[in-house]
Amino acid sequence: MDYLIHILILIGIYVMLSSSLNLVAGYTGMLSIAHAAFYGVGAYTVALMSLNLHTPFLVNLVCAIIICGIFGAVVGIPSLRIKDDYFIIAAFAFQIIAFSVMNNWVSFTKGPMGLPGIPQPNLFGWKISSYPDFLLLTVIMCVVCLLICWRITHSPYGRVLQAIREDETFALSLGKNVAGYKISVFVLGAMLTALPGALYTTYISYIDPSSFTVDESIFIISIMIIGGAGRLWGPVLGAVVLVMLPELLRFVGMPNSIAANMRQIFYGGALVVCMLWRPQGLVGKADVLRK
Amino acid sequence: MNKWLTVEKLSKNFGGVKALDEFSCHFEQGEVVGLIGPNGAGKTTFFNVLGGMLEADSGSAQLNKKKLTSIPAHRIANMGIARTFQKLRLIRQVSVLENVMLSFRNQSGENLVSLVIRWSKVRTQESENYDKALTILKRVGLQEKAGDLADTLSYGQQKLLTLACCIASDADLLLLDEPLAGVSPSMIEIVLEKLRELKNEGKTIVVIEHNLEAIMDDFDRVIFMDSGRKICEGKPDEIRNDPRVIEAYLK
Ligand SMILES: Nc1ncnc2c1ncn2[C@@H]1O[C@H](COP(=O)(O)OP(=O)(O)O)[C@@H](O)[C@H]1O
Ligand SMILES: [Mg+2]
Repeated sequence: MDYLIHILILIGIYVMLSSSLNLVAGYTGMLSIAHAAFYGVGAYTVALMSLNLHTPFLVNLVCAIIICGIFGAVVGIPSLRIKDDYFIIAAFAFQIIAFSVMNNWVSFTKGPMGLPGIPQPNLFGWKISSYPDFLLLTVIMCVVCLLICWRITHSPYGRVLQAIREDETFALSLGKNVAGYKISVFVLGAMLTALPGALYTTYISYIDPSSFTVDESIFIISIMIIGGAGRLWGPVLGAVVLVMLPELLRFVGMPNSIAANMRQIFYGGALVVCMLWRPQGLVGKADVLRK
Repeated sequence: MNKWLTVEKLSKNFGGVKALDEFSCHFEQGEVVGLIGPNGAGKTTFFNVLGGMLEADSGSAQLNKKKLTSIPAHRIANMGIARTFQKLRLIRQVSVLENVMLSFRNQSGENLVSLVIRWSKVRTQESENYDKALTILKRVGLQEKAGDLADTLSYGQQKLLTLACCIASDADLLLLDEPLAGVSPSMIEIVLEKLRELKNEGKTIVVIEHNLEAIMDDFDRVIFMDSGRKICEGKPDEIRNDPRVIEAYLK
């Protein structure tokens, strides 16, 4: 039972990660490879604050959201005002830099040894410690995250995002501040990663840099693409499929050493299959890689 | 000089090609002006520079005494300029109706902050815009296509849709790049009728067009350009009989 709940919590984390990326990449067409870095910034903010300052969970979460937003602005404002090519490079650079800071600034982040003993959250007197508690917190966070995504994408703002994805010049001619929209949605996407960041940190109660690598960014992108970019439910379905299937592999009795490789092969294979037969994803219609 | 829109010595080079070569002209409010000239004359480039999609190398343009050159394209559009593109631009993967709704300016729901703190205002405006968009679609005869993907429209219908987008923008100045090209004769009549309606509403309209037989008599004034320069301008009849124009179109 705990095992099943554990899988559900992981799915919830990836639903939030890929849904927030979906706003940026799926709806607006900016394929960012820095999503795991923002996830890491949120996770480390919560971990360091609760370990060093002993501040309550909600305060840590709010700070993580703000700090992720600031980093989003730092990456997005200079690069998105120029050209898409610069943005792709800036996002990649941020992913690399953020990882090496987590990995090498040993006095601050403990480097590759990671941060153990992160306290469990306490929300208005509700001590979250058991598996069902964490599952409930996951569900609450996912609902909040998806509601935000829903409201944004089903609004005039979201309509402009899709217009930018399809034809920037047309959007400009209609008086839409394209750079402003790109920056704001990118910052928003970064801020949303603080939710799964905070959840993961307190749930596992230990973090190290290996959870926030380029590979992780690619995994989040795969979930979004395979599920269906530019659709609200795409990332949800993608997260269920991509988190569950490797577990099923393990269930059929594949040894761990082979299963790890099989996972990589599986993700790669799923992406290739998706590109060839269903570039719009399982439920999607937008083809983010066409650009 | 108190013309509504003045353009002074605009120049734009592409490598060695002088697409605009000290091009000057002016427009009065409420005029319908034809901009004609052979292919490669620089007509589309003029629209692109005026709309801020391209930056001029030199020269200036002013709308109502406000400088247009070196202002970002979206701000120019919000000063009351709408345009269509020679190579049709629409959002093809969303509905016809949504293309029109996208074209309304200054929507409060396009701002993230009001989306959070003024949700009810956003909702009201959105439902008003929905009705307005349907009215506009009815006006151009596309009401039955409102829910279809823009991509599924015929070419002529897509041109009408771009016109509907211009109407939705409520701009005073419309820049139309070859609105009749590739359109069937019956559709041409519809487009021309819409242009006349817009003129009667007081819009200023600049039209790039090659199909002079169809549209010439609707122009109040015609500017003939070649190699990035204004060669001559005048009433449609004067331009029709101008030897320089005849020569350019025969060569
Ligand atoms: N983006 C561009 N890059 C390079 N050359 C261009 C570009 N746009 C237009 N030109 C050149 O500028 C000249 C004028 O083009 P254009 O304004 O499209 O003419 P028109 O619309 O009158 O047919 C042509 O010689 C064309 O090849
Ligand atoms: Mg042209």
